[in-house]
Amino acid sequence: MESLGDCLSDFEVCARRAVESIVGSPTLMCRRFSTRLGAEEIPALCTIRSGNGTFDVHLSMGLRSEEVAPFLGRIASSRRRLDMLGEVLNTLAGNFLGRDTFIAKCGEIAPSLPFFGESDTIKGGSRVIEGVMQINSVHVRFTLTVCESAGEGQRE
Amino acid sequence: MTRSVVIIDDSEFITDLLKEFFASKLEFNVLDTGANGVQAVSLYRRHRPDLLTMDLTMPVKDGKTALREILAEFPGARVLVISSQVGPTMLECLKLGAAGYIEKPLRLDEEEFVSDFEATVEDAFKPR
Repeated sequence: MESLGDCLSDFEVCARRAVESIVGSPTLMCRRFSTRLGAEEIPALCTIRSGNGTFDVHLSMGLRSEEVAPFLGRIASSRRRLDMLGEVLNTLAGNFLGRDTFIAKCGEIAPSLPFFGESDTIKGGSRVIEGVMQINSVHVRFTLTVCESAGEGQRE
Repeated sequence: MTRSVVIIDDSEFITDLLKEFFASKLEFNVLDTGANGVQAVSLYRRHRPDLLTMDLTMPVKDGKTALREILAEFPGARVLVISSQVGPTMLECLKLGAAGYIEKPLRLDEEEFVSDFEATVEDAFKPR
């Protein structure tokens, strides 16, 4: 599949907007979003996995569970913190997957519900967009991976 | 007469923001809230609100399915979709008969966003 280089600018805009609007703090890029090929397991506290039969997309936030409270910069129940974290990722996913630059490469993909865990697996041959953002002294890695769905050929 | 609203979103954080906004800024009577499409349909039937706001990505039943079901049973229902999904999904919802579409993230501290939100709500009450 094609490189995701054309999507970098949109991804950064969507990521920063999602975080800043929900967390209410400014963001700082510690490591700018860039593209690469990937095939590894990455730490991921919150992940959205979606697909359209031709492409599978994973979107994840990498931070430790004890960093969630300082990331959000506010005192809230554990349940509320996870809710807000999920909403950040949901907002990023909805905004980015609907962008023309992404749809032109991968077609329409609707975001699914976020889930919480410890890691996510990047399948071999995946195209990756990744960067690290600082919010409220916490460094959060945002990772988008796209790969062809198993058993499917090239997108027409 | 005070307009009524039912708010549907699986995020309590978003629901609380919308409750406060509709009650304090738009002076709606917030009748109830729900967290999925099944609740959206049952709460619409129970309350018949002047307006129902609907998130799209929700567990159990998604918002687009609930939108179709509500409008099939209540063709005059005003359903305002509030979602992060943009582009084709937005157009699909409007074609299905949604009364309007508000794009997340909610930027309720920005004057322009609030003004657009208010205008979209008012447009939902204009004769179709």
